[in-house]
Amino acid sequence: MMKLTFTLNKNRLELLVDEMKPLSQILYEDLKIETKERNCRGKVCGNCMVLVDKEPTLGCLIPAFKLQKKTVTTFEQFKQTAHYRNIRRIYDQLNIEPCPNCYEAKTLIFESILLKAKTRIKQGVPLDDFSKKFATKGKKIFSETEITGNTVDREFQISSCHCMNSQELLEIALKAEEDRIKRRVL
Amino acid sequence: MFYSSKNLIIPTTIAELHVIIKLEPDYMFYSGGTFIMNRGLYLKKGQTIIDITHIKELSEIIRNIRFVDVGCTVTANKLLEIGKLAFNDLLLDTLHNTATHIVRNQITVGGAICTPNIRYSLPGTLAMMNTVVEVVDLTQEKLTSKLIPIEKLYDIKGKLLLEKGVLIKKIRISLENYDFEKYVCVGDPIRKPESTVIISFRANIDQTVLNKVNMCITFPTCGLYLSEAMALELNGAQLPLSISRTIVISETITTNIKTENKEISAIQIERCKRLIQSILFEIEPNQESIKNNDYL
Repeated sequence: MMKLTFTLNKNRLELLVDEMKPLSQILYEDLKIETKERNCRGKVCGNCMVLVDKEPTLGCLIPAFKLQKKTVTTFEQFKQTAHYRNIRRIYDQLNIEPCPNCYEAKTLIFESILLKAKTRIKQGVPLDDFSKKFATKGKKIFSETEITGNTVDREFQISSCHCMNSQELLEIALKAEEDRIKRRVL
Repeated sequence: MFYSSKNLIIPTTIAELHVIIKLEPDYMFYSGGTFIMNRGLYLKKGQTIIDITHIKELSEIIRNIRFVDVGCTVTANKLLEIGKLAFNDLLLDTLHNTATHIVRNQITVGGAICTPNIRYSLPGTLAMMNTVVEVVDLTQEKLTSKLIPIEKLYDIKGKLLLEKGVLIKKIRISLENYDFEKYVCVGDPIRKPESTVIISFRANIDQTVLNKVNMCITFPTCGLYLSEAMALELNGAQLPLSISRTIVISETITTNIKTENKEISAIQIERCKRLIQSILFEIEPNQESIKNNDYL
């Protein structure tokens, strides 16, 4: 057992838990927070997704000792942010949204894709000295963060629910990115 | 070194890790945790967890003109980010197709190589690229490290041959570029590994002649196959390859694989055959090298 100190939805908490207990189980058993999947034991279904230090992460793959002094945001807290409102707005505009079973997971996956798109915009800055030394001469930089059909398909492989098709997912991601740039939510 | 609790130890240098291993008989290394958490291995009571992510020597990336040394606790996403500037497209493609961005944040290079019974796409591509790993035997009195080709880490059925107490320190990836590189994965390696086939292929094309052909076929539950038969058959072959020849080559390779390992399912064999054929059809003569040598 270990003493775990972390911030959950802006509240600082101290708990006595087993070092290897997954975050998804801590949320359900110790903190009584309902999530879609309680004990999937890392099936990578995507339903236990949370934000750890603003980065989307699967709760079942993170043990307690890795959460020391970290900030965890559940979907309930994420709903109050401008980033969520941006995604919700696009769901309403296009009149498409994920089914209730995977709504939280899919919305957080959209957030992860859009966060990557944010780094793409930042890539315009010139390379620092280390990167210049590291780069192979004449090598074209691979634009991994661009939102394409392939990227969206690959990211949504994590969600086992097939309530939306690839076209709809791509449309939402592109519209949300456009909306974020327009409203300066980035 | 600090003890977070009775069952968790977090060393900060390899020397500390060496001491810990002598004191703790029953332990498990933790780096990214995707395999341990996924398989519920953390449920085993009384086992000491040694978190190696805080060891600085294991998280370094050093570049040379000919190769890159990558520490075993470097995550797949970090390698992809840095690799954009240095690695060939084949390795970038492989990393890109390894799980999703969210899971790649946790997958480490060492962990991807050291999964006990299952092989994902990364070891296959690395084996084909003649990658070597630096291993340290922590059970010996004196710490000595040696370089081993990555394919020697596995037996014919893909089982990990590393003994307990032996740690992968670094992976040395060469920076060679080839004219034709292809990575194909059919199936879902995480959810349906028994029907998945992964192929990494690369070759040099000098005008209309194929050279230096390398191929690795990965069956997640049944191991890696570095196809030497294909290399022998294709080195020096004239392009474009005829349909009958591609069929003969694919048949020869799959028959060899079938006789070597009978656990491979029929769907994997069929997928493997078709994938090899489709890759061979895609190879075209190198137009640039033909243009450059016009004066000859």
